[in-house]
Order: sequence, then structure tokens, then C-alpha cells
Amino acid sequence: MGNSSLPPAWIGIGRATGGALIFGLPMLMTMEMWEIGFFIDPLRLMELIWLSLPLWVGVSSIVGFKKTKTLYDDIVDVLVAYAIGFITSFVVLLVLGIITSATGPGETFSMLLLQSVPASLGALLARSLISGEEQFDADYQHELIISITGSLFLAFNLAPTEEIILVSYQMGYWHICALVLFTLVVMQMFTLSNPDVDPASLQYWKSHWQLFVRFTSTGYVLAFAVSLLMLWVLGRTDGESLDNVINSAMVLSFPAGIGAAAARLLV
Amino acid sequence: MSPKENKTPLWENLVGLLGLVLLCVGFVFLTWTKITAKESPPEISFSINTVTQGDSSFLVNVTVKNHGFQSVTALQVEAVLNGDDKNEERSNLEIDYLPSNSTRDIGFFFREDPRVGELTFKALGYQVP
Repeated sequence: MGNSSLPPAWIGIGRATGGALIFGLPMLMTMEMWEIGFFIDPLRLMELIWLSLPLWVGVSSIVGFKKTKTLYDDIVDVLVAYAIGFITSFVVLLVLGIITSATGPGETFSMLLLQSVPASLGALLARSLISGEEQFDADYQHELIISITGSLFLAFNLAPTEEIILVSYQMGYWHICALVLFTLVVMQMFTLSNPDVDPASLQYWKSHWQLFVRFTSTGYVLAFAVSLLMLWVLGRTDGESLDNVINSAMVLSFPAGIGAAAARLLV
Repeated sequence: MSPKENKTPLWENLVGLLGLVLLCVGFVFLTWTKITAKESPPEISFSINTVTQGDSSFLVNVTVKNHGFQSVTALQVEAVLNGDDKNEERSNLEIDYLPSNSTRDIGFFFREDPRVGELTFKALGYQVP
């Protein structure tokens, strides 16, 4: 193709497939995800995919199959990621015997569309995950995109499970308060361990506070919003009281917040 | 880097086009599913596929289908065999989930021969997912 600076097609597809598997397998092998794929409200699934598209384009501008230069490249990267995420999910579910001749075409398609969201993120992140290419220099806007992506990934892993709801039922007021505090402490530790933070500046409490406001608390708010979104998309808020919904979102914000804070390591 | 070197490879354009088609078909499918959604309750039907004689029991393979629009979880189903000697034998099980317009293959065990006597099936209850 006369483009010697880029890897050949099979390497690009191979990396993307590997990334889709790494990110998609936990969900492809989770029973709740098969069920939710069958029952999910079509509008909510559509909104999840719609929301993922601009976010993925933002991620693609940071990482992707190649060092993209234009918006067109980023959009193509996202579409490639969705195609590979969809096909990889189909092959895995077929091989595992989840999709059989008894599975209706509608339920198969819904399940694949749902599974292709995390799988496509994996395919998109494949370059930095597998190829070990250089890290990017992210500005604050990119940091927020990475935080949302990280929280979405971990929230996607756990939101489908019954445990999130059950744990929120078992927790009292003080448990929830302690969990939020613990989440913020862990997130702040991730923030402080970021290589971009100058260790010399950490002797001043003002620096701690600035980092907390700029990254940790913002990351928690984003993680909480992502948790609410995921619980709603997956039908976990249906029939629940407002208290239960908030408690569940706070429980899910624990992994989602860690995902947001550790996203630089994941990406 | 010149514009030519930066050009998106052909394979990415082709696979990207496939992704675009899949997403467009997906959106059309989801919209169509939402528009045509009806509040019809689950309608469970049973059809016997095979009856196999084992060493100590008979196995009846059955296909269960949900004709309704409502998908169900934890579907309890029961098979009742009224033998020639008027004895009633019951066998039941739970199906994890049965989406709309989907089928599941299940099996019931009986001590008596189901080919002799009357074999009936019924859905006992379910949970809304």
C-alpha cells in the first residue's frame, strides 16, 4: 500500500483482535452479560453505543492503531474497533456455545452489540496494550477522557453482576461513607504515584489539595456518573428506590473510581 | 511526514466500512425493536423431540419456545405423566432465561414410559428480568 511507516494489515488486525479479547473476555464469559444482552432496552443500548462513539474518537486521538493525524483517521479507527469487537465477540460466543442454532437472531444481535462496546475499546487500545509503543503526553482534557474510559471499563466489568446490588443492600450508612472515603484515598494514591507529579512539590499540602481537586475528586464525580449510566443502561435501576440507586452507584464507583485513577496505567 | 505517508491504509478503510455497516444495521435493528415492542405476556409452548429409554428411566427431550414479547428469567416448567395405571408422575425444572421468540432444549426424566399414557407440560411461573 506504499505506506512503509505503518504495520501491515495482519499485524493491525491481530493487535486489535488481541485487545478486544483482553478487554472483552471477562464480559464475554459472564452469564449476566448474556442475559442482559437478551433483555436490554433497545433505546438504552443505542444510547450507550452513541455515547461511546465520541468518547472512543477522543481515545483514538490519544492512542489507536496508528499515530492518527486527522479526525477522519480517528473515526475510521473507531469503526474498525467496532467491527473487530463485534466479530471477535461473535466468534468467542459461538465457540463457547453461547450462541447456538436455538438462539434467536434478535437476541444474538443485541448480545453482540452490547459485547462489542467493551471489546471495541480493547481493540482501540490495542496499540498501547500490546505493541508497547511510546506513551503520549496528555493534556487535562485528555486526562479526563482517559479517566472516563478507565472508569467505564471497570464499571462495565462489574455493573452487570448481582453482587453490586446485593452489596449495596447489605451496606449501612456508615459503610457507604467509609467506602466513599476509601475510594477517594485510593484514587489520591494513584494520582500521587503518577510519573507526571513532581515529588518535590508533594511536601506542600497545597499541592496535595490541588491534585485532589484537579484529578481525584473530578475523577470520582466522573466515575459516579459513569456508574449511574451503566446501572441505568443495564436495567439495574429499574424498580429501585432513589436511595438504593445512589447506594449502588456509590458501590460501583469504588471500582469505577479506581479505574478512572489508574487509567493511565491501563491505557 | 508527508500527506501521502499519513494516508489511512486500505484495510482500515474496508474494515471501518464494515464497522459502519454493522453499527447502522444495529441502530436500525434496535429502533425497529423498540418501535415494534408490544406489551404481550410470555407465551410458552412445548414440543416433544425424542423419548429415549435408559437403564432405569425414560428421557423426554423437549423444546420450549417463548412466543410472547416479554422475556422471562427463572422460568419454572413442569411435565406431568398420567400413566395407564392412573398414577401421576411429575418432573420439573427451572430455565435460567428464555428471551422473546427463542427456544431452549430441555429434558425430563420419568420412571414410567411416557409413550404410554398422557404427557402434559405447563409453565408454572417466571420472573421479569
